[in-house]
Amino acid sequence: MWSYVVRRILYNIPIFVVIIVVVMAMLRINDPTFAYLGKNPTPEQIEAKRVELGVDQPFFVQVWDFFASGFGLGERSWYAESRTVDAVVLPAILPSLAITLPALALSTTLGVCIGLISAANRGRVLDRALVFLAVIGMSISFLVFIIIGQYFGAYRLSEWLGVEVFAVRGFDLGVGDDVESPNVLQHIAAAFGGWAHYCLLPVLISVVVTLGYDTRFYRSVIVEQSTSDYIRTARAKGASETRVMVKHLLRNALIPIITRVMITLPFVVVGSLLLEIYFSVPGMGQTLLTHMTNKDFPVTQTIVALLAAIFILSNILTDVLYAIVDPRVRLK
Amino acid sequence: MASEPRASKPDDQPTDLLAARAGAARPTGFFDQPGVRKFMKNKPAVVSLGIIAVFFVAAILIVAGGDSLLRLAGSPVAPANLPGFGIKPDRETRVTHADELLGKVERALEAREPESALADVGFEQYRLVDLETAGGIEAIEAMLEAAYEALDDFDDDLIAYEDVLFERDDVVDDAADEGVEPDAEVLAELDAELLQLDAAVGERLVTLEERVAELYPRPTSLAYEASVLLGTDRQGRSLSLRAVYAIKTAVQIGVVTSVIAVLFGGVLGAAAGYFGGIIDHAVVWLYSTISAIPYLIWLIVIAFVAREYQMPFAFLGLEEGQSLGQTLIPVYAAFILTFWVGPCRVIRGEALKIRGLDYVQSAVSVGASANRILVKHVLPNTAYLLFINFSLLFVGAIKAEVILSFLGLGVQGQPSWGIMIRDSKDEVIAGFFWQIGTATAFMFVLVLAFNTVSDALQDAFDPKHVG
Amino acid sequence: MLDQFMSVVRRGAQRWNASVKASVVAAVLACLLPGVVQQAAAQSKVIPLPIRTDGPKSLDPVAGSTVYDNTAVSQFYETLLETAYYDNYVFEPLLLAEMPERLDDGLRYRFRLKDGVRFKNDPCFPGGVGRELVTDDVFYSWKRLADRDEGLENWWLMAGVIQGLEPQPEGEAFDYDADVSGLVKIDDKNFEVVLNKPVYRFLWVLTMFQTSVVPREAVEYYGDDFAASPVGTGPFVLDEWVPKSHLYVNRNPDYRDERYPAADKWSEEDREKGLADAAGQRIPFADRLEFTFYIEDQPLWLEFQQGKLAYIEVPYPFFSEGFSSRTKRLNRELRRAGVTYRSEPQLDFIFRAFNMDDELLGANGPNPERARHLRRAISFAIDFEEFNTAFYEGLCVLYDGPIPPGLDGHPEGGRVPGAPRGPDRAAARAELEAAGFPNGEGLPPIKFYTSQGGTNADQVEMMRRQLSEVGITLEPILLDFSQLIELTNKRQAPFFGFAWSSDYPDAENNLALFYSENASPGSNHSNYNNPEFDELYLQAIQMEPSPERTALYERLRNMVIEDTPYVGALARTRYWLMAPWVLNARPTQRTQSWFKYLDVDEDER
Repeated sequence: MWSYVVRRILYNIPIFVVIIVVVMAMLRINDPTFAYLGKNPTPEQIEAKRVELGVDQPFFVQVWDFFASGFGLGERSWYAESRTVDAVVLPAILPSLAITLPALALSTTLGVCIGLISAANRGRVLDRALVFLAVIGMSISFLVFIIIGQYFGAYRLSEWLGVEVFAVRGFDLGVGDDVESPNVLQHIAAAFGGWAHYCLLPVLISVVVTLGYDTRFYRSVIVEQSTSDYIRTARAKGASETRVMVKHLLRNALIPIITRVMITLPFVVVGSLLLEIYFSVPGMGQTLLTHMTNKDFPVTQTIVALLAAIFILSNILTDVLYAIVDPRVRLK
Repeated sequence: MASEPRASKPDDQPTDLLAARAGAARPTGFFDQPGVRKFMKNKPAVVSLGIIAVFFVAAILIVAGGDSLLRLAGSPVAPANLPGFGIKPDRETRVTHADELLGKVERALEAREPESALADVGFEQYRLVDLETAGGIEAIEAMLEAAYEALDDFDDDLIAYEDVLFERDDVVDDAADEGVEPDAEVLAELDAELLQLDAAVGERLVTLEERVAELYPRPTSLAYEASVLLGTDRQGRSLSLRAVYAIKTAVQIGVVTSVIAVLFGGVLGAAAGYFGGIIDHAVVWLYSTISAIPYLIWLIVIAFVAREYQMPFAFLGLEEGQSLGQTLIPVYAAFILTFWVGPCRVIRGEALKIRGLDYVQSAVSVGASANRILVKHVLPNTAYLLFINFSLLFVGAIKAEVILSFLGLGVQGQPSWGIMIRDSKDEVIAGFFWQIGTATAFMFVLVLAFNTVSDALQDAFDPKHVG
Repeated sequence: MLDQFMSVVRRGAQRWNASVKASVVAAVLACLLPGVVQQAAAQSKVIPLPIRTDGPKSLDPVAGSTVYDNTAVSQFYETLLETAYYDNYVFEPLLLAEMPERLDDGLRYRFRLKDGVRFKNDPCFPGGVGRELVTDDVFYSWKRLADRDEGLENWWLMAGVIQGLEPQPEGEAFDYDADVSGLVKIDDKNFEVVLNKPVYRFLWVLTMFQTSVVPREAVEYYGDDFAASPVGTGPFVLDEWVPKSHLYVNRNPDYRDERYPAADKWSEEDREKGLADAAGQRIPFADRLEFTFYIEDQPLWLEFQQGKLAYIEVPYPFFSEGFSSRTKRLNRELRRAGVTYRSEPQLDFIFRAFNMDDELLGANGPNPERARHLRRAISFAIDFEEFNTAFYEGLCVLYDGPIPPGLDGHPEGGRVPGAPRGPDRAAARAELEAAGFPNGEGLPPIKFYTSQGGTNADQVEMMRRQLSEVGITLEPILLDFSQLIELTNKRQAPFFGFAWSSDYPDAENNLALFYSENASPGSNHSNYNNPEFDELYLQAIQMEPSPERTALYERLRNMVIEDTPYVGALARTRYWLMAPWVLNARPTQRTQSWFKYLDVDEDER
């Protein structure tokens, strides 16, 4: 297995390099210099800025510098001049994960559950209603869910109840606020409270949006499995319906579920861009967008490299997981 | 195949049905094909197909309508933020509208040539009364003065009303501070007064609106009614017109990007699957590269770069030095470059399978050329996949347009549902849901229709699909 | 309809709430809401404040440019002079003991630094104890503006002003120890500055945060991290800065004895509002300022409604939520909640500029007369009032000429007779005909460049429609701001949207936009070139405020109107809302060092 993993990594190195080169080349189609000049620049200053940013160098020198400098991590951000790239990128990971991981877990669990219910009632009114609801959910824009969700969930709800249940914006887990308390549980409770306060609403909105897709997917996976021979055999042997569903069905449906979850992983890291912008969560998506629209090449490049690496690794991990879950799959 | 275990694994199972269908005698007519028959039995799908057809016809008509329609969709037809279905806005908005309408007349009268300036006052159909009908500039001035008097009366009564309201607030608040119930008698007295004053303000407003209506006779044409049917935005533009015009934008983006992406992806996928070897490796490698970054990131990067790009030479009706930002090209580029991967994967898997089928192998053995086999066997048998992918991408494009437009990287210079939703984000907080509602409803119908059709297509043609 | 529905639901929620009382709901909410619990526990004076956008980019004065940089930097650092809190049109000494002495008709100024000003305690100083501010610190800080390695971003403020102060040759390090002929040290507290020529603006520049005084030790000690490690003389010290999220500052415990402005300095109106109540008391009042960054307007608005912010600038889309947009009166709910407001016309110059070098539209092009008719035609066709109503809630002031309201040289009522103010379609059509394009026939589409974002996409649509009414075709192009700058710097944009916010309240700052020496890539992006204007301008900048100078400003203004190098202009009016529990708040855009005067009424909160 390890030789397989190593081979896959080697195979993917050119992909990784090409992505970075392509993105670097695309960014450089337009000149970034003018984004970083003061109010009254002289031609001399413009040229000096170009040299300072390093965009006067030949393209492949810039590419080489990027790799040689360890994916630009130690470089100084152009836009956030006071900080290095890693100081910009790394703190953005946690807020993104705080929203997307729970959202992924919740929507997968719910999706599988509803998919099971739907599949068990295949063709009946309940199934049709659920499928129809899913399609309706899929037919409305994410942005509409966010705008309406924030308005009612954060603003009107707080107005009705007189207490702010969900924050309108921001991100603060509140860890370390109450340093004196030696009680670890209290810290955990505080962190959970902070998380619920700031992140639960975005998570719920995200779940509502993805649930339609997930439910449909898992339903069809389960229906497909339930019509297969071994399930029929299990039923014929007289196994209870619950046992059939949980032991045989879910077990065999694991591969598609894993695949779907793993495919979603890179999105988890980049966060839900729109949610982050709308709820002012300082995550990866918002960071990428801010820095890219401000022509901050170093940060953009590093984030792209990070995403590509995560995707490639998650792909490989998927295959390894297959082999663990399903003994019939051999990694060669 | 170590490189692509995911794509190939589900496809490796032999599909008897497909083989049976492919091996069967050529169906006699299009509607006799089992898949088509199955599709036609699906009522919602047929209805959806009809809806899609209506949208497409609308788009074609809008294109035929040309620039005048675009201009109309961009011009104010009535005062701003009017609710739809003839619902009256709140009092504050109504008096603001009256005030604005009067202000336009006042400023026109101050112009160097009041007569020509007055002729320009108003919206598309909702215009200042004709100078001759009114009886000359003096008449207009007199009407304006009367209207302003009505406005002053309204303001006087409103202030009187508000004063009592604040007085009542004070009574309530003071009582609350002292922790006692407010004096019921005093409150009842104030409430009675308020009721009376409120009615007076209402009457004043009606009078004011009548005076304004003398200056601006309300148009009775059906066209005007249609234009204010769903209300107006903050510029007074017709939401119904904009939403309808956006059909063209959506269909245009959807058709252009999905057709090109499906064809491009399909051809690459078919070639990769059929020829295998180095071509396969190259194609798989290419789409692995593209899909190694979440598509939203590609969309943003490509749209961001393309939007600022300036043409180095004249091409395809674009002038040299023209920035692509005003065209749909950045949107097309972003969508096509990211969307082709889906169909490519699917078609490649299908082509792999078809190549292995007996009759194709026999065609190879009798010396049919590769191109012939591709065209005669592979493409027809993957056609349904192309259609399914087309409708999936169409939906994807419409929804992605909203996101790009929200980020300011999308459509410019013409209405689109994405722009409408973006514009509505500030209105929602003010409790004005007409713009977001209109855009969402239009988009919802089209996307739902496409989702239904692609489901039905998969039901009818894809033996593996679970309905 | 929806409102009715909501009120039903709300009533339901209230009833439910009342019946279940504090039991289950409270338990669940308490678990969800540590934030609320924490707030109750706070006992020191903490003032929550907003910063719009994603906050400052740097805390180094010489790297700053935006008002948000200013807000952050001004808490830590101080300038020699300061825009007065009680009157934003005058300045007064801050780090100086007295107003600078003007010598040799403004060619020389003598300064005396205040005694007892110390930098905050910091490890960059020997023993970690902040030292006294001295003359060398001032010279060092100004020299940093001229240091190429610091980016020269704000060098334009000092360029050519002080005798002998110039950026070092390229590739060399700036020699901070070398003498500059214009910077004459008398002793640690006294110095003189010799200018190349008398420039009155110089004193205003000394109120700008970019000229704040920083200690050399800190710059050298922190190196690149200096931008995130402020070491100043100011009333606050940095506690925590999380970019894109928040900036928390604590009171500087060693801040010198500074006092709230005396009662007699405040206007009658301000005194009635209680702004003079704290007169003579020691500042700062707050123990801690918590600035939160808001990229979107909606959360900003909502959080103020929820009482979480001391004050906000009212975002335009929300104006009608808080005020009657017609009468500009505060609405009932806010008034009842004790919220107060303040409004202030901005020193804004929002305009659409022509490039005078353009072949078709420019005065420096082949056919200046035709070009002038065209510029005037466009000017007559554009209706700024419609923009004002649709995009600025009618809160903008429209005015002729480049001098914003409140400054010497601003025309009375904003109107200058004969100025090409729209909408006047008849005049526009006449000008078009005079230009040889009757009804726009034969006129090529005119490219209009503007930055994207905000409502600009909608604004250009409106502009296109207005111009099409007289037969002019506009081809709007929306760009990234940096690209717009690039195009205008290269003089490639024929017609473009621009806005200028005055750096200091003196019309000179705006008239400089038409001085030919400032042509692109300088701030004169119109590339307006009028020798007569230049001559009068050079004369005006040497003068102190006086009726003569105002007369000169008016002549300059009329010259620009006559030549119409731009269409405009608008100045926004900002509205601020203040929470009932905040004291001494007089929000303004002109200075950002006023947070030291803020106080809170804990009982009210």
